[in-house]
Amino acid sequence: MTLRALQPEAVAELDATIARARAVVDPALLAGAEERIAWIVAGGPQPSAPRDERETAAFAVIEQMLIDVARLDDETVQAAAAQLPEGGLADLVMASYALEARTRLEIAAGRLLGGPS
Amino acid sequence: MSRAVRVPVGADRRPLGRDTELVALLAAYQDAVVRSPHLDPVTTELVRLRCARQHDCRVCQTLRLADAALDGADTALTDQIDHYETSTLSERHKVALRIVDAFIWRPTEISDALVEQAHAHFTDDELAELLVDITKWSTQKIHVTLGTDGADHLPVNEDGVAYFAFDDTGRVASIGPSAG
Repeated sequence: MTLRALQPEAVAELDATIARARAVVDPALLAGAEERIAWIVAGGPQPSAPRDERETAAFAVIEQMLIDVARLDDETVQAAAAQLPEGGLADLVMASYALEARTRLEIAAGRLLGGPS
Repeated sequence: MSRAVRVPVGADRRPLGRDTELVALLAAYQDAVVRSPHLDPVTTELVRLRCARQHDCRVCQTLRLADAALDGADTALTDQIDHYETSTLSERHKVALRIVDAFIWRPTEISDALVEQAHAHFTDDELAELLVDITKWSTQKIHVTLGTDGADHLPVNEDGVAYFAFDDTGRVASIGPSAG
């Protein structure tokens, strides 16, 4: 069975979270986050390079959050927050986490439940 | 690694300016996961604490799930999480923690052996809940990233832990210094 069949309510809520994330987060930043999730979590191709200081700062946070969040330092996060409007980094981090969770679930469910979510 | 609050926060210790609908939807996801009835509280607690240790979430490491404590998840049990492979934890619990580690660190490398162990010790319903459980507890990554995972405000007991419980909707209903 699929994860969606076994956990329909949770998967639907995650879908709704991701839909909202796409509505409120800058599409370029979210696309960069998705590229990094595909690269780091799913073994996909290397992402495109940041295009400016804002993307450099934001993607540094996303990459370390994906690799080992415990080793993120204050300066990296504060530098990204300074590049975005108030609440912008929190929204990007929430959005990226929701997409990361879905990717990890798809991979793990594919192995442990015999099919993608 | 020390960790400051890294973004401007309000009186509720949460980041200012967040999209409230996104916050509410992510909370609704977590509530739905908590309402799932398939896993026993002790397994859930071991999974929760493994996520907390791996991500170094301060508030999550300070909290204990009251239902699990009442079902036997005491310090002697939870102290074994960090070295679970050589611990006296049950094989079912060791398999659960192996799945947590694979999910967090290398989900693409879940081995055939782990898949076999998973199906030997868990039903599909339990496995599905375990997977979404990991993502529920790992929302702590958001708070760790933003530096909003401080535990100073928790009502801890003499052992430095606080117990929490959920209501039927999946929301946290209580936090206090004892499990009962």
